[in-house]
Amino acid sequence: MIRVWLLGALRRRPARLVGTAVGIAIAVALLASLGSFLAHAKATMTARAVRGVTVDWQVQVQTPADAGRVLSDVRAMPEVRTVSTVDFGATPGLSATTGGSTQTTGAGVVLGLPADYRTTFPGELRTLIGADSGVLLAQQTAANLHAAPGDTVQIARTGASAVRVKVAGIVDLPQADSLFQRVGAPVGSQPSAPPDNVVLLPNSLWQQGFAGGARQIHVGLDHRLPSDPASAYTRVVAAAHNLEARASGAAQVGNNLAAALDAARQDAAYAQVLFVFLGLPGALLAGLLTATLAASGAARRRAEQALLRARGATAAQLVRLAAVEATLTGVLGAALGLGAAAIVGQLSFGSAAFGTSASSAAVWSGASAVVGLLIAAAAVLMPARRALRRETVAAGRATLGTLPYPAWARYGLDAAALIGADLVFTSTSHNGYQLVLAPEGVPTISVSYWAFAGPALLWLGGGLLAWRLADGVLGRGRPVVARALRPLARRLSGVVAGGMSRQRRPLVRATVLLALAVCFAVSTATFNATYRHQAEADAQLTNGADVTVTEAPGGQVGPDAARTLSTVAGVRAVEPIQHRFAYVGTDLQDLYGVRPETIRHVTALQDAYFRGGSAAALMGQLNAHPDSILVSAETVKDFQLHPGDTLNLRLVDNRTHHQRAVPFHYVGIVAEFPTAPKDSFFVANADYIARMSGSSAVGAFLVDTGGRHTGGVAQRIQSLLGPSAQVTDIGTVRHSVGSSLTSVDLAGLTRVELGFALVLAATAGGLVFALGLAERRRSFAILAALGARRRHLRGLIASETLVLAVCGLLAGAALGWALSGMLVKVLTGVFDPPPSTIAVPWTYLVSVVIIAVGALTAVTALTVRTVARPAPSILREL
Amino acid sequence: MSAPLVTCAGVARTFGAGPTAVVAVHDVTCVVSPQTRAALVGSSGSGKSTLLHLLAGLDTPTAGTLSWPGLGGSDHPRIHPGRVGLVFQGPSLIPSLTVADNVALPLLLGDAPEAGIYSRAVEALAMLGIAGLRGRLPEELSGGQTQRVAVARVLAAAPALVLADEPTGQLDHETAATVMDALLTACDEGNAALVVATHDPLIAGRLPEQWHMSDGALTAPTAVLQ
Repeated sequence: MIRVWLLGALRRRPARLVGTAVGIAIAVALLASLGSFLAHAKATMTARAVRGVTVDWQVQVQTPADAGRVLSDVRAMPEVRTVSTVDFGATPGLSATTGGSTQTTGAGVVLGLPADYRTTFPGELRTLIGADSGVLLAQQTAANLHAAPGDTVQIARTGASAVRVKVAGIVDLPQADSLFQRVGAPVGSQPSAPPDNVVLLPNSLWQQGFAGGARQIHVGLDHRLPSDPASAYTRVVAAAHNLEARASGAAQVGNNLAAALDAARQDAAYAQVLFVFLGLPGALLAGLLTATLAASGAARRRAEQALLRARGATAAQLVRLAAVEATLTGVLGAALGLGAAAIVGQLSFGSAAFGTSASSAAVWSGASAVVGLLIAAAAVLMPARRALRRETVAAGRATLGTLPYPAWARYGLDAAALIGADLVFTSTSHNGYQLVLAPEGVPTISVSYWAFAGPALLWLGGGLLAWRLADGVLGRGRPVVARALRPLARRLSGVVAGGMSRQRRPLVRATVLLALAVCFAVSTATFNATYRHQAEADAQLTNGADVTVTEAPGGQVGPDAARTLSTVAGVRAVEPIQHRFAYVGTDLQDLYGVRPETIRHVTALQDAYFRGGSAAALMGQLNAHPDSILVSAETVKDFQLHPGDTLNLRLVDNRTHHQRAVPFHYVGIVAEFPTAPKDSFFVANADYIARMSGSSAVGAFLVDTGGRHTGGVAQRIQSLLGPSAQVTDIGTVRHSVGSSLTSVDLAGLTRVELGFALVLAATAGGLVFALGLAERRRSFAILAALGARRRHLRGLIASETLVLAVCGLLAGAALGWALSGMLVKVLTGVFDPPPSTIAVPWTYLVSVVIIAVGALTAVTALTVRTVARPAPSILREL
Repeated sequence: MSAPLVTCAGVARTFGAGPTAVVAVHDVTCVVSPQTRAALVGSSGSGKSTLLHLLAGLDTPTAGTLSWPGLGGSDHPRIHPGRVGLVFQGPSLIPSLTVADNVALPLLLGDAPEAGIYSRAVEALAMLGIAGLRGRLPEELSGGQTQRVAVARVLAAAPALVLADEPTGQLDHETAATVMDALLTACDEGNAALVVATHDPLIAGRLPEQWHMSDGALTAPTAVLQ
């Protein structure tokens, strides 16, 4: 009997089976693709974290332990690949006499480096000017001393005479924070900034003058680590602990690699968060879609079941029939879905694997397939079982029956969900939307899944509210619908509205599904667009503009050089920006001098970068009152500043080469600024700084190219200026800034999500509607037999299309808009910098509408064409 | 004498092709005039329903010629909805529409003045004694009631040709007689032709002519009745 039934279903109702399998395939493909995304994301995060670390471990030799023994212990570790010994000494101060004046600094650090250090750890030093070896000065130290290669610097020593050395080169220390960390100290007692004054000496010279200081062993590890950052972190931390145990207290490990992996595992947790926020609604939607596709034949299935029961089939036989149908569609859908996911994975991530290892691939594909089978069971088997238990044969034969209000609607579940969403959202906002908490040194990360409840409840409440509204419009609003459809259905409008009203539940389900699909597309696309926008803003903040020309420290290039740069092909505008160092109290901070009236022509200043006014208003203040200054929130707190307060900074006067106090007036807070560091800095009027310091020397030129050909323009400028200045373009910076989530992985997720959103919108609109119409082909055949012409049928079917499209798109747009706002807020932690506005990808959204409406229109046209001339087989059934 | 409503010459209808082809109607020649009152009789599968579908213009013959000179001056009856009324043997009401809507449908699809459509529908229902069902849905009706509504739908449109396929198959004798009375009265009053396919000799006996079908062919007594 099962075989006969199955063959009959395949032969007579293939669309119903295939439609259900397609819905399952979409859900399986989406889940498996997202699994692929997660696995790929984690692997690239680990790789990127490892790549970004120059010295994996800084092993501090404890006094008075034997450094040679610790070195042997380090070399004995199987993970260790490269080793170098670095000595740390202290100096009470440095001084240099240049250009007729003597500059003196405060205390500093003197490093002793072995000759092969630069080749062993190439990322630790970057030569700015002069030689690669010999006595080297850190960039800021050189600026403080006004020293250049060839100058002599005096290094003071405690209890001994000063040492005079000749500067061979000036270097940047890109990893200064980790290099000068206090190994083993808790987070709170780490130095807030690396030392201002650093001299690097060859190891032999250091031994002559500073022997007896602290010693570190810098270590490079084997980078064959687990691809999951959390697992890699655990392994690296365990190895460090092992070394410390072996050394029996003689060594303490500064674990830079673990710190980088710690950050990566936070990114991995965010990737997981994104999976939950952006992926699960899609999978859930695909599940609902499947259930709706299966339900489109529910009336017929119930009638068939009732007939079989009347003919003596037992309940167990009927359940077996439904189970076989569910298994067939589930297996077919899962196979199709896994195949599609493999293709999507290949196209988006360059890998068809669903995980980074065979076991994770098996888990992801297996879990996705199981979800597919569960959806099939829920969509096909459960309704059949329910019908068997609750309905009589007569009730089963009824196709319309009464339309009872579901229990959730009677008890107002939609309103409760929306109120719940608001409450959760408000409570989440109190902790600043911190979803991922990764306490330093703790191997596990906690993700606040509670915050997901806000968007989830909004999604649920919005979907149910859309159901209630659509049901109300088609039910009680029938007279209004009839009037509205008059131009389309003409004198049939009353009959059409009546028919739609009595058969409204499938249409309402299709409307809600379309609304949820559009909402998914809107929220995903908006989130992705905002994310891209902010990643671009991050790149702009780091680089300053499309192309940035950074002058060498101590250079005296004036703002007039901007005219030369503006002649380079591809350059639209050039803006000079001063970069100085200024003391506020004992704190040395970066000071940026800008031309407030024109700075916004070359770089985007978002309102979110400032507090106390918009970007335009604060730049207006700097312009109107040149002694105005923007400071960091930390400085405001430390110095108890109020708007209008005077702030005296100490700047080097170019005329006297001595520091002088320059008064500014505090007008607002700046958190981010192009080219500025992440920590504290000042922004002031360039003309005022030039007047008060006697120098208009420019630190960098920000070059606007209109966002095009940045690499080419950067090359042309570099060849024009030669090696005297460093030229960087935003294209290069884009790949190196931000978290690994920003630069690598979201692009793949975006492609997967947006692609699925389009498929879901088209399927929700077209396929569900088409199957619903197909189930009524007998009614259309009767109409045709009664004399309905093509225009009558077109009016009738297009009326349903219109109601579905208008209600679905409007509800989807409204829900998508609300959900986007909430998602961007709740996922604030993913954005760097946080967005001030939501970016709306209009082109994509318009294409979603076009595809959804196109699918509906195609279904309408095809159905009209098919039913206008009913097949003889259908007529014979009449 | 008025123009014939339908003329068939050597009409055939074959379903499928090759060895599995089924010849449903074979070489039928006949004329249906406004005065035709015919019972189309024959065993199951003899081609009665297919011939009715061909006469109604719902199906296209695979051979021969078929024309409708007396139906609105047009070549095809479907150009003017309601000119040919069809009563199907199975349930043929639209499930989502009320009884009144179903009966009014041919009028709404045609060019009858909109104002009087529903009163005509109720009148037709009253002729069959089921005016009280006008607000019900088809699934709330018994098989007999459903069939009477289908007949009322034909009567409401006042067609020139009524083709009924087993219209009383699901009715008791008394109700069947009522339905036949209504059909005959309506056809007499509206000067419409009536062809009824039936197995029931009592029903067939109420019509002056009988067309016999066997294996798709129209046989005795004659294919031309005027």
